[in-house]
Amino acid sequence: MTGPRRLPTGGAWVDRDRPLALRFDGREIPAFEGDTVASALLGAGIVGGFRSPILGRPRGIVAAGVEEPNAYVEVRAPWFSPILAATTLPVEPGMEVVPRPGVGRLPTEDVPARPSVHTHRHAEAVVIGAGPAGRAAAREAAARGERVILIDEGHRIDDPPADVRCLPRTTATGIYDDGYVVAYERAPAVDRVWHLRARRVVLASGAHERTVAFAGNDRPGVMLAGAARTYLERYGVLCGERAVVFSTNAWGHLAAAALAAAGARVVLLEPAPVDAAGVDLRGVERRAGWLVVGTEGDPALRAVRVRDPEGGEEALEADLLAVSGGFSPVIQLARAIGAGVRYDEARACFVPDGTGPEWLEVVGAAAGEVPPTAPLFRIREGDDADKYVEPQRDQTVADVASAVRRGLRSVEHVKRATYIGTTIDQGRTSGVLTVEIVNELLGLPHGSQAPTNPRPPYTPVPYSALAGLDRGPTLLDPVRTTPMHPAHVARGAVFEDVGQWKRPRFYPKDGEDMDAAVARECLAVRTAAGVLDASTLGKIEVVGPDAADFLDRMYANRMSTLPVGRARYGVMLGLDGMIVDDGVAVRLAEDRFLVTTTTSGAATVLDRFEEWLQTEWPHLRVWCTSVTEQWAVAAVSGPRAREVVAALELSVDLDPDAFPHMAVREATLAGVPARILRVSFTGERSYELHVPARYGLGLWEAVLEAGEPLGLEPYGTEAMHVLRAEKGYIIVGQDTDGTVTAEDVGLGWLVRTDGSDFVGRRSLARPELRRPDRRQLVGLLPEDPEALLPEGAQLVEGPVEPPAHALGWVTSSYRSPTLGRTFALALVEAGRSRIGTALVAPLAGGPVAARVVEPVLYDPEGSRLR
Amino acid sequence: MIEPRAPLADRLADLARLGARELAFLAQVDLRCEPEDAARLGLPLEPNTAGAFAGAEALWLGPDEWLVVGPEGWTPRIVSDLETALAGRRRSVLDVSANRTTIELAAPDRLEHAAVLPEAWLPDLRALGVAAVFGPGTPLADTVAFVREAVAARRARRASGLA
Repeated sequence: MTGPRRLPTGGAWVDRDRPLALRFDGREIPAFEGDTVASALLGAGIVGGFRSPILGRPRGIVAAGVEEPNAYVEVRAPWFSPILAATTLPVEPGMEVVPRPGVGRLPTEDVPARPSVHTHRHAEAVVIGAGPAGRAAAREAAARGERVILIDEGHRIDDPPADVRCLPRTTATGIYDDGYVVAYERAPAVDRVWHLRARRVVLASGAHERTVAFAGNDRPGVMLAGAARTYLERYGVLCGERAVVFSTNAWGHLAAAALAAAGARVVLLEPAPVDAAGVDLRGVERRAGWLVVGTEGDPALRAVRVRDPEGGEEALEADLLAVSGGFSPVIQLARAIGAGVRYDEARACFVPDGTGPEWLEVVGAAAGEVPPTAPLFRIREGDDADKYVEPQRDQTVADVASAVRRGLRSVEHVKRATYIGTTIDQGRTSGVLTVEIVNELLGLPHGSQAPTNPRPPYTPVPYSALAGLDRGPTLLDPVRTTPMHPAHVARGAVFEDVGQWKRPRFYPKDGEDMDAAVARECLAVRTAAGVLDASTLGKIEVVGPDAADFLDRMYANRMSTLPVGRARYGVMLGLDGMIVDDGVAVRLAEDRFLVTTTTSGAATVLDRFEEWLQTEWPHLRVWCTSVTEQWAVAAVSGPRAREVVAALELSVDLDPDAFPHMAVREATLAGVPARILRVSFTGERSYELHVPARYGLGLWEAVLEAGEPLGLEPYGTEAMHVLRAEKGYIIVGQDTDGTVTAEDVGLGWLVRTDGSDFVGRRSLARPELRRPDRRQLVGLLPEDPEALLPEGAQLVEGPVEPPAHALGWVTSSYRSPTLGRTFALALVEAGRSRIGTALVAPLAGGPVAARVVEPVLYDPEGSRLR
Repeated sequence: MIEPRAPLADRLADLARLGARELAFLAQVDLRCEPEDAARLGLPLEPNTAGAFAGAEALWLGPDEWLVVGPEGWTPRIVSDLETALAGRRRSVLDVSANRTTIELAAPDRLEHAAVLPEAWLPDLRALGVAAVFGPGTPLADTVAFVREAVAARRARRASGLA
C-alpha cells in the first residue's frame, strides 16, 4: 500500500522495493526505506498533524530539512528520543513517533536509549555540506591526495566523490578554534560524536529558503517551495495537485516547474519581476505582480486569496501553497567562529564578507551564490496578527511591531522580547524575516542590522550522545592509585578519595569497625611504629640558580637560608594573605629543591609557580617540574621507626646526630636509589622513604616485613588525621578555608617580617588581618570525654538563646586513643584569649560543652620527633 | 633487593584483549631549557613533533620542555649527556621515568576495529610523519614509542593520572 500523494514512480532516495510501516500518533503510515518521517506523512496525504507549541494552532510540515519549524516528533520505538525534526528523521523498521510541539519531554519510565560513541579523526579538509559545491570541493581536495571528510545532515549523499570519507546523517554542530569541528552523526543503531581536526574547513552548507509573512501563512498546506520540490524529487511525493507557488526568485520558479511537470495544476504568483531564464515553465500559469494576501481552509488549505496588480482580490482553490521569499546562506557556523557578514542587496540576504579564520572557506550557496530576489518580507494587506514570523513561538508581525513600539531597536533586544529564534529550530526560517521586518518598522534600509549572533550547537545534540557510552565510573574521572595500591587492596583497606587519588583510610582487621581500626593504628604509631603510603603527596622539583630566591618569594618563610641536605616546613599565601597550601621544602643541592605540597593541592601549586614565573618574574632562572608520580613514598613513623628503617638495607647512618629531624639524605635502599626525609606529620620520629615508583610496592612489602616483628602496622589517612591533630598540625582545606592566615592558625612565627617580599605580604598589613578578634585555631576538649563534636558544628558562648552569636566552628574532631578521650580543633573568634574558658556547640541532640585549650595536645615540646 | 613492578601489571588481561602490552620501564627524562639551547642540541621546536637526542627520542612537550625517551636503563646516560651538553646553561634535567608508562598498540587494524585509536585523543599521526617515518617492516616498538610520546605530549600538561 502506498499513500495517496505518492506518485507511482520517482523519488531518488526511496527504495520502493522495501516498504516500511511507520506508526505516527497511533496511526499506521506506509513508507519506504529512505523516507523521512515527514516524507512518509506527506506521501500519506497528511496535511497538518502537528500543533504550535504556544497557541496550539494546527500546523503542517513546512520544510524538508533542519529548518523545519513545526514538524517535531517524540520517537518511542525502536529507540527513544524526546524530540527530533520529522524532516530529518529517517524511517526505520518498527518506528513509532508522536507529535511533540516545541519542547521535548523526558520519560519517567525506562526507554530504549541510543548508545553513543565518540570518535576522533584528523583530515586535511573537512567539507560541511554535500551539495554540488561541497562535493566539488571534496573531490578537488581528494585529487590532491588529501584526507577529506564530507559531512551532510541529509541521510544520503548523492554522487559521493571517490577517496572521500562521507558522513551522511551527520550535522556539523560547531566549528571551533584551529579547525576543530564537532559533528553529530545519527547512524542507524548508534549516535556518534565526531571530533574532527582539520587543516582546512570548507563550509558548503547551502542556503535556507525564507517564507513571507502574509496573513494565514501558518496554515497546514503552506510550505516552502524548495521543500515541495525536494519531496517530489527525492521521495516521489507530490504535496498538492492544485498548487499556488508564490515566488520572488528563480529557484522558487524551479519548484513551480517541477510541480507542473509532475502533473499538478500550478499558478505561479510573481510579486516582482523574476529572471527565470532557463526555467521551463510550460504548463505553469504565471501571474506577474500578484500577491498572496490570505489563506482559507479548515484547517488544511482549501484556497489562497490573491491580489492582482490593480488591487482586485480573488480566491484560488488550492491544496498547496508553496512559498519562496528568497534564500539566506547558512553561515551560522562561520559566524560563530568569527566570520563577518555583509548585506547583498540584489539577493536580499546576508552573505559572508570574507573575514574570519584563514583556514575556513565558505563556498557555494553559503557564500551567497543564490538567485537574486526582490526584498519581500511581509505583505502589508491583512491582519498583522495573522502573519506568522516565528511559528514555533507563535510570534507574528504584530508581536514584532509591538516590541519595536516599546522602544526595542536592536534585533538582539527584539529577540529577547519575543523569543523569536530561541526555539529548537533556532529561527532558521524566521531570523532574516524578523530582522528585516524590524528594519522596515524602524524605517531603516534592508540589511541595516544583521540577524542575531549564532552560537554552537547548530542543531540540538542529545546529552546522551555527548555523554557517550557508560563504561563505569573509572572513566568519569581519572582514578589515581599509588604503586602500593595492590598491597592495600590485599590487606582489605577501606579507601577514601583525596582529589583523584584512592588513599587507604584505614585497614580493618577481622571484626573491627572504623573506630577500632583507627584506634589500633594510632596506638601502633605512638607506641611502636606505623607506615603510611604518602606517595600521593604533591612533589615539585624547583631547579635553577634562582631557585632559592624564587621559593623565598613563593613562601611566607625563608627558604634560601636552608642548608643543602635540610628540610623546612613552609606555608604559601595567596595575594590576599590567606594560606593556600603548605608543605616541606628540601634543599637537594645549592640550585635544586624538592617541594612537597598537599595531595589535592599539587596541580594548583605547580600552576601558581608557573604563573608567577611566566608572568611576573620571567627573569628568574628557575624551572619547575612535577615529580609526584615519579616517587613512591612510605612514611615510617613511631618510637621504633629507626629500628624498622635500620632493618632495611640502607646506606645511611641513622644516628640522630648524624641524620637529625628535618634532614634529608640521598641513599640506596635495598639496592635501589632512594631519598630519605626526616619529616614528621605524626609527632613521632619519622622517616619518609622516597623510591622511584616502580619500586614502591617492593618497598612497602619490605617495610612491613622488617617492621611487623617490631609491632609496625600500616595506618591510613584517618589515623594520620588523628595523629596530626593531636599535635595541632593543620590540614589546609580542612582547618583552613581560604579565609585563614598563618597567624590565625598559630603559624605567625614563621612569616618573615624582615621587609623582604613574598606573595601575600602586603595583604598581611591590612587592618582586617590584624584584628585581635579574628578567628584563631584552638583545641577543644568536650566536657564529656566521650562526646564527639561534629566537624562543622558552630560554637557559641554559654547558654543558647537565639539569636546567638556564632564565634566559630569545629574544623577537625576525633577520638584519641592516646589522650583517652575525644578532642577537636576549631576556629574561634579571638580563640587564643579564650583558652581556659568553655564554649557550647548547640546541636540537634542538645548542647555539648567543651573547654578551649591550646591546639597542641600531645608532646608540645616536640621531644618525640628526634 | 627490591624488585621493580610495572604500573599496569594487574591489567595484563585487559591489555592483551586489545592486542596491546605495556613497555613499563623506558627511560624518560624531562628537560626544561631555553629554546635557543634546545635548537643547538637539535631538539624539535615544532609543537607536537619528535626528534632525536644522542640516540634517544626527544619529544616536544612545550615551548621550553622536552621529554627524552630511551630504552630501559638509559636514564643515567641521558641525564649525563644532557647535563654535559647544557653545562653552564639555564636548565632542569629530571628523571621522570615513572611519571608515565607506555602501552604498545599492536595490530592497528584490530585496534581500529576495537575503536581504541579513534576514541583516543591522539595527535595527527600522519601529519607527524609516523606513516612516512615508520613504514612496513619498521620494528613495531619504534613506531609505538613515537606514537606514545606524541600522545604524552598532548597529555603532559594535564594533571591527570591516566597512564
